[in-house]
Amino acid sequence: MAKIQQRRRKQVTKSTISEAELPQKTNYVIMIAGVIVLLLGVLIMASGDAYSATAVTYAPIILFIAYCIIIPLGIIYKKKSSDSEPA
Amino acid sequence: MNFNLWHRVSAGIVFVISTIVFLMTVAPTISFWDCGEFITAAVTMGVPHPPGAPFFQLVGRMFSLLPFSDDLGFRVNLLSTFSSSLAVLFTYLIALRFLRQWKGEPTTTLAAVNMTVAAAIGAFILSWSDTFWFNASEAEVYGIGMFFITAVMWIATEWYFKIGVFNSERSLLLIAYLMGLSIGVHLLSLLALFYVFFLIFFRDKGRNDLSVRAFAIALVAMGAGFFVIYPGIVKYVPAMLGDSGMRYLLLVLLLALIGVVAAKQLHPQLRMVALATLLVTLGFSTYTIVPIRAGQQPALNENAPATLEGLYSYLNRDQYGSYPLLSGPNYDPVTRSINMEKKTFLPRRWSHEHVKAYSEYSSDFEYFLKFQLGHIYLRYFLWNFVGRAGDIQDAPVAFVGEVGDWSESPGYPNRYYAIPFILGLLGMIYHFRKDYRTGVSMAVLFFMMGAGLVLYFNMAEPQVRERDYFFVGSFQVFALWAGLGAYSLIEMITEKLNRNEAVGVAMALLLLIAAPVNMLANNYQTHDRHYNYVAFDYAYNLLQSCEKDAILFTGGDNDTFPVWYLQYAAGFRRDVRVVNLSLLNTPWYSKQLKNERPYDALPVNISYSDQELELMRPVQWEGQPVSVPIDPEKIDLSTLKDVPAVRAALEVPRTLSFTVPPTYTDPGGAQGIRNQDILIIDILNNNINSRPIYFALSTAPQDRIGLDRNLIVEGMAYRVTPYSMPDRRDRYYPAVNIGIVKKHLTQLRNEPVKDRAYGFMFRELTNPNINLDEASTKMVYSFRVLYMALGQVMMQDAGDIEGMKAVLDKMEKTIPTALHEFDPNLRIDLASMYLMVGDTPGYLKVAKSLETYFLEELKKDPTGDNTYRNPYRVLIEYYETAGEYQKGIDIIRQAQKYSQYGGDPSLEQRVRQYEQWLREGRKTPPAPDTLAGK
Repeated sequence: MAKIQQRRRKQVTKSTISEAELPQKTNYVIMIAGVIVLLLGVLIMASGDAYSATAVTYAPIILFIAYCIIIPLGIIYKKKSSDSEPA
Repeated sequence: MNFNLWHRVSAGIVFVISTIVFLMTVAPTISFWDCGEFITAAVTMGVPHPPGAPFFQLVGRMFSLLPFSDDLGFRVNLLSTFSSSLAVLFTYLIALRFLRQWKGEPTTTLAAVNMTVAAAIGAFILSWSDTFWFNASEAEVYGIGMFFITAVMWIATEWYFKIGVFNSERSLLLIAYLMGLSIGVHLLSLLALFYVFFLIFFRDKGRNDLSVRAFAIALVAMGAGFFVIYPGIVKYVPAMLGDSGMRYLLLVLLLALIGVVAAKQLHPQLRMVALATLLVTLGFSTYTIVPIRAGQQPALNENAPATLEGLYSYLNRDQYGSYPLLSGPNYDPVTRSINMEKKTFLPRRWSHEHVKAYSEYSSDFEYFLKFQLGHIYLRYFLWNFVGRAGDIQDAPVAFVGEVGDWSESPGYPNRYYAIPFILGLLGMIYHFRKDYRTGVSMAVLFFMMGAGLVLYFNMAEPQVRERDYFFVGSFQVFALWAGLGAYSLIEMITEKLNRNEAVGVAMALLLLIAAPVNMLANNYQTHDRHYNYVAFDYAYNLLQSCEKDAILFTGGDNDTFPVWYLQYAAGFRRDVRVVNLSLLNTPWYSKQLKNERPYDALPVNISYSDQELELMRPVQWEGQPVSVPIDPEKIDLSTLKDVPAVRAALEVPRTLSFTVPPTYTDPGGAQGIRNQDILIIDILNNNINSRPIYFALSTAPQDRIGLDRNLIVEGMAYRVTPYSMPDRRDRYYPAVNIGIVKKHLTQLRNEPVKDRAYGFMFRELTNPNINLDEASTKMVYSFRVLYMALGQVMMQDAGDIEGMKAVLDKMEKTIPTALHEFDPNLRIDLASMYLMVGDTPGYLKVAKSLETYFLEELKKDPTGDNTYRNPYRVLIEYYETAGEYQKGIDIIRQAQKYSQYGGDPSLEQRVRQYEQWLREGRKTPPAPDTLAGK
């Protein structure tokens, strides 16, 4: 008897992903913006040469912003309202 | 009471303390091994050795733009420092999360202190453990690799418990993206996925759903999931991109994945998996910069992977060849060689070059157990949690008791009395008892990053350096357990004493001091690189040893990567063309030397066409003479005119003639020379008349292909000359260009100069707090040998006793004997040099340290006939010079009893002389010149 109850309880906590937990429209917009910036960075790098600041400095800065700021932000961004629950 | 603020502040404190210690000990510039290359790759966005690290380069490039310190190497080192501190922070947060889950949120301040300190114990054990700290102080990929592993572990743990910022399913997407990025640092970080997979499995299954069948299915799914990423995305995507047909298939796949993500009617779980796959690929896409940069031909462009095929072979590490894992040829104890005919299942002894070491083991299993698992992994593991005997390669574990002389730098042995080890074991048990699900998940990571890697790497014996840095992920898990173990002890004592939490706090502080603080105290000196400029200064000295537009042959990592850093990243002596001899065996490298002009340096003239270079193979060779024509009108030998052998020659030789011995033997027994040797001959032929050519002193004798009689030392490099030098094997170096070397060694600099200039740099070598690793110690030793070689040649060639004295004085001022240990044989030489120049105090200082050594040697072997120098002779000389006549008489008596040298009749005469001096009460010998050379 206890066993069955335990099983039921466990099944309740079993994770099913709800639509709400998938990235929302804003997330996709940010992520796609990130990919566009990234492509821009790649193009700028490709337009430079071995020792030009374009390829060695500017393009890496743009790529860094895309990879390390915009795209991660796009993944984790959440509307403020759901953020107020205690940690 | 709410402890949210408390938890945040204490996490901040852990991060800050860890950062401060790392900042105090981080290297001020490049370090040896790969660091110079990685920094160069980051600063110049070049292409480092396969399989590359483009994400490391991107972030490293950002760090190199930071506005502090002039040294770009230092700035990139900060990337390791910073990411290592973050890894410490995440370890703390994971440990704390477990404790908060198991014990509930603390209700009293003391309970909160106990949890915090226990988690901090784990985090600090990691921070101050041998291997992790080493990685945190230099620009290597392992610091940032640990950032990825611990970040993913932390996010997955929070997700598992459905708590905190990462409670939502979306956290798994962040994990996927981070794992994709981590491929651009080091593939090792991907193993963190197994922790995530196990947590997903355990969270999705109720207790009664757990069955062998469910577990087996899950394992297959995990394997498949991992396979999609590696080798799937990492290897097959670039391969498919390279094939025009497959390219469309890839496009279809990509569109399909996007379609799945966008299709709202599909199951959310499926859409998540598709999105995760896309995000891994997106993270991995930092690799697009590799072919772009390779095509632009920057100075550092290893393998030049400008095409997609090139990129595939770069990612696949084709340059390093392959080794068998599941099945392949193996060592055959009967023939004592590798049996290529027979395939063995799980071969462990597969390498032709290591047969000698293999023959010491009775079976593959013994080799695996004793060398691969024991000597490689287990020894490193215990170094971190029990103690380390020293920094000389193969140094054993130090627990208690004597460990022998395993150290070149002071501070060893480091002993932790196995306290962290015991805490780790307790923590592992505690973890399994409290929550076996997360426990199993962590244990999987612990074994995969430890024993699993041992199986996978299949290392041959011996290795060129200690490899502990590979296994740091496994040590991190164990350190985290040590934190949990500390808590289990705190909990036990609190409960035993009627929930008296104050006693718990006392226990917590005691453990904090006994484990991490003791590790900090023990390891600080040996991990403090604050004053270590040796790699930079060595590379500077090597470059400045060359005349303008020189070609410089170098041998390995440590005489090449630091030089690349100086030239390409920092802008020193860009006129010199460095030719690394092991890379010279690859066609892409010889083509770059021939066709490219990095920073306007002259190309190396090579007569082979690009196609011939592509097809070049080793040729059969049995030791043949080679002669390179010399044009006396063109060749510039003006800086050599004071070398005696040059002065003695009537005219410039018309040829440079030497005999090239075979340099390798193939498995079939045929002798030949390698591409590198063929190309050295060609480079000599086409460049010797127009520019100076050098070999670094550090090149292996066989790599100098029989040129030894034509080499003159001009600093840290040998210059190749057409003149034949005297065969002086009694010297450190047969010929030394006194004029040049003297300028380098006496007019020292504190600031480096970008163009050709005399004057070496030996920064901080007189600082009593300096601490050097094994590679740096070897370099400082070579600096000392150069000083002594200069003194020796000044005396022998020019009879310049005063000059030799000045050189010895300068050496002592630059590389003080008291701060830099060196071997007894060189110390004897130095002692006799001091006697030669009549510097008795100098002599006594060096010889005093030899007294103990030789008395020890005589205890081991009283005949004294088997050492480089006869101990009796050295000791008699020392006692006589020091005025210790009674000891002199005693040692002569001992010599007469045991040694052949004791039969020398003049010894009896000496005894009588000493007796007389003793009667007269004389304290010092009459004059040094009557003693030397007897």
